[in-house]
Amino acid sequence: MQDRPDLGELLESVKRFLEEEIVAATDDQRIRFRARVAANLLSIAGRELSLDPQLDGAERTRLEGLLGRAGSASELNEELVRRIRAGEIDAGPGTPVWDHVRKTAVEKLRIANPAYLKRAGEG
Amino acid sequence: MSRFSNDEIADRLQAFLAKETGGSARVEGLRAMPGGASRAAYAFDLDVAAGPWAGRHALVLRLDLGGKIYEASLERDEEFEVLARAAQGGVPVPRVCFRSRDPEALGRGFLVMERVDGETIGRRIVSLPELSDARKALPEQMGRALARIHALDPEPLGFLPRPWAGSSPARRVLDGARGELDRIGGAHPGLEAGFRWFEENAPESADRVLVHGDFRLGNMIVGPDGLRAVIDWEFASVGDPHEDLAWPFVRDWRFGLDHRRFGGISDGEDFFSSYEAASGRRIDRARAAYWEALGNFRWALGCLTQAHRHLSGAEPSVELASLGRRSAEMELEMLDRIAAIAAGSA
Repeated sequence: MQDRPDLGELLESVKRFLEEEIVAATDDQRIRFRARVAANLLSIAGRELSLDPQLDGAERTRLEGLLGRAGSASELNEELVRRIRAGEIDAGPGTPVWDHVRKTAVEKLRIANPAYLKRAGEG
Repeated sequence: MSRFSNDEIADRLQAFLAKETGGSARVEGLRAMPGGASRAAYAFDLDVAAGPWAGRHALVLRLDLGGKIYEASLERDEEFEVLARAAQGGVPVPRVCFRSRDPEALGRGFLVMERVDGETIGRRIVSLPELSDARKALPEQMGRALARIHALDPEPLGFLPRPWAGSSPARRVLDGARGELDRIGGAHPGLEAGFRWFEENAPESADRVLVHGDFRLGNMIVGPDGLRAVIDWEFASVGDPHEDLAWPFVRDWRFGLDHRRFGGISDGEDFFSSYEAASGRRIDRARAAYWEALGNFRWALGCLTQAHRHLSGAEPSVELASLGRRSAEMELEMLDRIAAIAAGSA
């Protein structure tokens, strides 16, 4: 086991450095903008650390149900894409595939941008 | 980013402009302007001592970068032709003062245009208190400007991308999107499900107009009086007018004010009715809803494409990387727009 700071605390310290020290240290608008973008990416990384195992499992379980076999999320996603493109599985609005990809988009946003989900009434 | 520093750009630009103006030209205060992922823009002032250009000019340098967001963007010379035609047709655009194809000057083609005073950052246009009158005027001004754009004759602009005979504007866009999805790789089942629906529901339209291709609030120069100029013509093509009519409704172009469907500033009825009055065309609401959903798809894909420029090593950038994680916002909106159309409630 590593000494503290733990992973979340490491991310948080770099995030504060970017948001507070870098942004204050320059008048260059592009650098200030990119520092805020970088800080936001660290927030995403922090949420991914805590949420991802749970969300990834839910996505894989749904994929296994749709495709009728076990596998890794990436294998199953590739197969799903192949079957959608070949027209071998119905993927229009209202189908189980549609419900699955919508749930997956919401799950991606729980990590990438929960504020957006709240605005969209999915929070 | 350009491979030159700002000082080098200023020096080289000064040498170029001295030749062009036939006198002693001084480039002052050159600085990068925000925005522009495939193109760098720099503001500067030009001081010319004598000759036809004598005086001080507020200008913008538009410089090509290595990467393109979309494969189908225009070359500088082509953009110049489109801008000239738009100006002739009464569309408010910045005047192009100089252009160079000489790669010696700055390494790539560029345009030098007049600098129109005003705001172009969408999130500021939707929120700055001093632009509140502008926000009231903009939808109708944009409707009239778009009517003028769609009245331009695209025929002399033979380089513009256009649908093959027997194809349609939507199919041309979908062909491009298919190629891009395959090029960036990875499995994107949500976008693939959307893509399939767009293919099965592509409108066959006989309408062919000059499409601006990126007609949204962030590509308008806005002053307290409203619209001053329409910029960023690099994605112009020949296509269906509903492509431009729907693009400013795409959710990300509402800059956080989601409940105001048109650019975060109105419900869009004022935009549509001024366009109809000025153009004499009737807007097909079902076709506009299709293009709005497709617009969200294209921006979802555009985000992945930009992230790919970072991931492939072509252009390492934290900003491009971040767009990869924004794609899901447009993906969700695309799915919900399509579901609304399918349910008859779009």
